[in-house]
Amino acid sequence: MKNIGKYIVLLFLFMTFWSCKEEELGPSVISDDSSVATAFDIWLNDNYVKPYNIKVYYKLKDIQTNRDYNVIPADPAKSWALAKVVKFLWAGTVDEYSGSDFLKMYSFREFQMEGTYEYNANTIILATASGGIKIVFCGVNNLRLNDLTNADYMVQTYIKTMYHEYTHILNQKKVVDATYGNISGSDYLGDDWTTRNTATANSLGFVSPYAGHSPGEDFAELTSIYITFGQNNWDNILKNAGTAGAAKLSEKLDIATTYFKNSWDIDINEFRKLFEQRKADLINLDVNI
Amino acid sequence: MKLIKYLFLFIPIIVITACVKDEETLFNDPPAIRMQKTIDEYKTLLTGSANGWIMDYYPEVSYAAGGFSMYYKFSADGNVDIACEIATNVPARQTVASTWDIIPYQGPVITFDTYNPVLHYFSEVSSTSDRDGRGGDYEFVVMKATQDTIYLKGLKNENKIVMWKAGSDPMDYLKQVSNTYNKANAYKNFNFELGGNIIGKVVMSSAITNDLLNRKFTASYTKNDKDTTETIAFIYTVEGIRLNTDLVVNGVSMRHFAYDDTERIFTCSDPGIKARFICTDKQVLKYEDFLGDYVMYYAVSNTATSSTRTLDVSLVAEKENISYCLEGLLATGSPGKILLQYSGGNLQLLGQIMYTAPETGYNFWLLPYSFPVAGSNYITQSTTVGMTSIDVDSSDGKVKFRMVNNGAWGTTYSVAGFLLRNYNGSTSLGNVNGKDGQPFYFFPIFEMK
Repeated sequence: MKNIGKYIVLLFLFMTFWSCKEEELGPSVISDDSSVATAFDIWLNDNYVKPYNIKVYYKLKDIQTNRDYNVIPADPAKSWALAKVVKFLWAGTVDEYSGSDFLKMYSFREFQMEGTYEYNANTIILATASGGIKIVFCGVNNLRLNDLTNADYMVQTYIKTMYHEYTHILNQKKVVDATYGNISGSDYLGDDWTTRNTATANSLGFVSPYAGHSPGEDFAELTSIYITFGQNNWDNILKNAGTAGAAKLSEKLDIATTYFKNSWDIDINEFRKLFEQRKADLINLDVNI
Repeated sequence: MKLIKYLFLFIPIIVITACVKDEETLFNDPPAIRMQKTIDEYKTLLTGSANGWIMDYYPEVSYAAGGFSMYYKFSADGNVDIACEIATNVPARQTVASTWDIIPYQGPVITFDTYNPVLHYFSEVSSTSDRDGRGGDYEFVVMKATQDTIYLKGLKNENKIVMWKAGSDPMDYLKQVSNTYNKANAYKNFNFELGGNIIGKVVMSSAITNDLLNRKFTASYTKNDKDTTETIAFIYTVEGIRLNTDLVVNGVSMRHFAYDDTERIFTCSDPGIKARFICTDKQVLKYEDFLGDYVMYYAVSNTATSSTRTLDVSLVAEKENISYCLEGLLATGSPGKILLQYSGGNLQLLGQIMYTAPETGYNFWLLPYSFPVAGSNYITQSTTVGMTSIDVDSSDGKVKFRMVNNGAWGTTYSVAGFLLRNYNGSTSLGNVNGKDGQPFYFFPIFEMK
């Protein structure tokens, strides 16, 4: 009786496998984007997808945006011009220094262009980043030809943010020396960072008020401001910081320099020179709106 | 042991139930394929209309701005031409191309996914104080479609929006709708007549928000012995207006009205209904009547007793039916635009920033300037204080009017004219001379040439 029971169980098991066997998968039922490729699409494929594995979305599906904001789609011609500038000042710089394979490994994966800024009750958002994956460029329709080739304007508006976020991508892969966070120890304010002005932040050894948020943001602020805002700006920050603040800032910069050298084989000063050169050359870039 | 046997008996039941293969399916295809089929059908429908589509477009939450007629011509390559009956970021009825798509969301959603200066005019935000701009949607859920009508719902604001197949000349349709607007928007006050009796009043909205003259009216009447007031949004048509919802009074439902500009009467055109809105305002000049070349008489002192200086100026259409550009006051080569608004047969010239320098952010102001008050003169950086037209006359076929204080500066101050001046915020950077080498324009009088 026991045996019969066993066989019955085996039979059922067999039936179960037989009756529930998987069907073969056919082609996907989700259709591809059927719209015709434009010259811009082809350019993006050649300049972002192939070399860097970055997808630039210049068409906006509003339902994929943050519903707290009312934004509109970007003008494709301006999106193209901005994509050229971002390639020139950000991706192209990293590419020239570390190679395109480096960007394929470590980069944002998506850019989204939005026509207008994201308006809060009192502030305007120029660009956002989420999850180290996606960068949203806001206010693209407001860009004028002379904004696009104005390196300082572009750095202030978008490029500094990109280096800030890119620093996060890198320091999430390889961690920064924990002693970095000890330099300012109890001076980090978390979300209350807005209560501090620039002068106070500098005097405490922060490169900007936002650097006073947390060691992670401090590191990204320091790196991005050091690279993108130029030596004069850095000297001014040190001057404003006073002796104690400047000492902290220099100590932080030393750790950052060592980190980029040892972890990523990037000489931050050489990289900055390259960036400076590209900033100076931006005026000659054909943005061709 | 017996218990175990019974347990074994249960197993096949469970297994069979779990693996039953012949489920009756409600639909033949999986959901993704059904959605794709629907999307393809709608794409075929939209691109299939040879003359495109007309949309009754209602921006702003709860239809608050009323409706605007839009034209769409969808192409299979993903492009779409869009025009609007009114001036947007481009002049009225000018067609601009961008892209469109239908994407799955809560059902198929028609989206306009690259910038179109016509459609996205209704959605763009430009200040932190008005975070939804004109509150227009540019993504629409398809609720229902027939071969010639598509029923949509704005994805964010949920306004119901209808699109129908355009006739042979859609741009002419928009032009005729504009003509109705041009004629009817001059009048605000009407008596509400139902079944031959005047039962109340209808007041057309004169609010212009974000350059949109709100297309709605407030009807007040007595219903079942109760005083009733309701506001209804509408859209202009070739004949008159079509209400967004029925106006229902004593069991009578009204939806369509024809406008007669000679009599200044809206007559309900729904079958068997006898209702009219009869204008109680006197006849006034229309927006387009003011367009043309003028001699402007003016003074350069706020104590002058007559306007003896002259300049050749022009009123040029800026936003059709809404505003004009007053050309000829600024020095040759000076950047900036002076705008006047049309409202109910009169013109408003208000304080305004004529130009903002892109490099410095400095503002070039047309600044309201007071009559002397106890021996002193005052100016104000206000965009509501200014001058309004009076004594508008066109009896000899040429428009004449003069501008006087609009009363918005309170009781102490009264606008005598304007001063041209540059500002860095509220700090003056000095006066700027106009066309005749003076920064002042007082007591302007306009006479059409």
